[in-house]
Amino acid sequence: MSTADGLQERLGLNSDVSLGLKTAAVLTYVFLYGPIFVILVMSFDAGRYGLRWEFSPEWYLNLATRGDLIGSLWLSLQIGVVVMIVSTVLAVVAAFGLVRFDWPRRKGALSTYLIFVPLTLPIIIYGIGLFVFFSQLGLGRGFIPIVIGHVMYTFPFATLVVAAGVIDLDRSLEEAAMDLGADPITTFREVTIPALMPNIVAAALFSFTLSFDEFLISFFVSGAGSIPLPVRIWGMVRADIEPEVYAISVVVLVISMTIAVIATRLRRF
Amino acid sequence: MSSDLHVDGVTKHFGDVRAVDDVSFTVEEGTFVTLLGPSGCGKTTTLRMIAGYETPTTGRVTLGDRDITDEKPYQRPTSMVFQSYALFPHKTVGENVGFGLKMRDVPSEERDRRVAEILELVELPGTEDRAIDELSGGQQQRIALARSLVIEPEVLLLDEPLGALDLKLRKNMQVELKDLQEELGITFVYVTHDQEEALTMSDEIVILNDGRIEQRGTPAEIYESPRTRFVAEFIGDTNLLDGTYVATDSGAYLECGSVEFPVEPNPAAESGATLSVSIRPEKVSLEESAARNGGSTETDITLDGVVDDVIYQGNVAKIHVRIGDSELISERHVVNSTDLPTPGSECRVRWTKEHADVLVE
Repeated sequence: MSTADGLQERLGLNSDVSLGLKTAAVLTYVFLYGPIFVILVMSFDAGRYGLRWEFSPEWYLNLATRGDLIGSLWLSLQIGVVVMIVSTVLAVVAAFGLVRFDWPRRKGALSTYLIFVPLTLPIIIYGIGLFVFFSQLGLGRGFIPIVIGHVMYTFPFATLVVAAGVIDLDRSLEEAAMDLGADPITTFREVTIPALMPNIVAAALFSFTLSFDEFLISFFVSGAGSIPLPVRIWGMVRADIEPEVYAISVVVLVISMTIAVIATRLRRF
Repeated sequence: MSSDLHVDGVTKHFGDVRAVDDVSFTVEEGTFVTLLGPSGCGKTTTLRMIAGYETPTTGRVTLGDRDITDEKPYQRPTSMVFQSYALFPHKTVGENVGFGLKMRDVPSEERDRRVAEILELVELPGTEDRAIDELSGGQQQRIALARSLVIEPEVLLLDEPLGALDLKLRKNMQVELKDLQEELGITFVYVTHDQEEALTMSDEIVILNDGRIEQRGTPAEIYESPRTRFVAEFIGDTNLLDGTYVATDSGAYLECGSVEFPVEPNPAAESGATLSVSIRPEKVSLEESAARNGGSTETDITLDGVVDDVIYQGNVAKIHVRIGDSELISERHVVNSTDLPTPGSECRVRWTKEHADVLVE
């Protein structure tokens, strides 16, 4: 309130304009969080068609009996964790290669560019490509193909986040460690990795959430036995929206927000 | 004297660039030597070769009888204090200072004791558990120093360690560093581009320019007897008189436009060469024209001129005097500002021959 008043004073705005600004601000947040709020409301609605809202935890209780949804949630979490680990480890290695390796003229810029190009490509092309590729290899569909697909998708993002840290890393920190008697491996373990930890954690959480929501690649390479949650939800809303979808969506939302909170907290270190 | 540091014919190329070009000097054990020069002169590269971060293209670095040229930084008995301090941000003060001891497998009890002692020495006792970002710039500087000193290096290397501090703190730290060095008796090799800092702290100064040594000597030798134009201009303020140097059997003199005056002969300069003579402003005294008669004698040079400008700076005044085509600055301490000459008045400048240095390029 006081900030808005201060702004109003500084800009010499009359109260009509100030009211306009406040309305615009409120509408912006309604726009951002409206759909999420709708899902939250619907998940507790006893009626199936939203004609008359009545509180009920029924759909949450039903979730326990929906082995397909729970199984998919569990699968998505497992995939997310494996993708997170693989993607982050690769990203650390790639970031050091890109930033620290003494590349021949112009090759460094090219290598960096080629790592980040996939960020701009339509993901559906990955999905189709991987589907054909894994079919030809005889790997088919399932856990491993999904993990590989997701790592390909998350790796450039994770590399970007870690590389930013490596670029900013003060080289004299590592030199100081060696100066004080640490060999290169000890220096990496004692100084380099801890100094990069905020970026590494960010890359890991980023990889996990990207994988956890991923739909297009999963759609093409998931099989009957292993269907990640986004693909499962898509299947449930095709004909008629089953109300459990709202409940599982809220569960997903809680997981994602928990990770976001953890990420914000960790950033302080 | 077994632990003198020898830098012997060291050259360093980076691609086509010759950053350090055939540099040799010796640092006696327990002395404070400064590598001084403008940025890009090769002083930091030289220091990094002593520390082991760079390997010389040619030449050797030895410490006493031990050739350390190819030793890794973590094998050398040297330690470096960085301009950025390079304190580990994720470790506490105690962990930072104790890092070198931990690497040497010193048991934790002894480690704690030595860390506490060294923190006492740098006047930050009891700060072991503090985080690095809780400390001020000056405190971080002391911690960086403590971290290097605690491992008892034979040579402490300092790369512009006071560069990030404000002027007042820097002046205090200059004195403290010098006192600390004398107290501990450790060899210090100090890199700076600040000539005043070098003059204040050093036992000996090595002046580098363009990868080569221009001159080395005690602060007084460097200031009072610069041998090259670069040194004369880089260290302090000076008057440069350009002219033709003429050496004869009976002595040398400089023809400088309409005037000429005797100078100390410089064996490195050729007779007939165009060169400069440097005279420090405070060595030039000023008299009113009529005060005394007589021109130059063999050791006392006097030239007539006109006061061009008087710049009052509080404790000192700089009086610009025009002599023929040249201008000389005479600096004097001001006791009464009313005693200063007025611009336009005729005057006579005077200096002793030994205070004028014939410079080579």
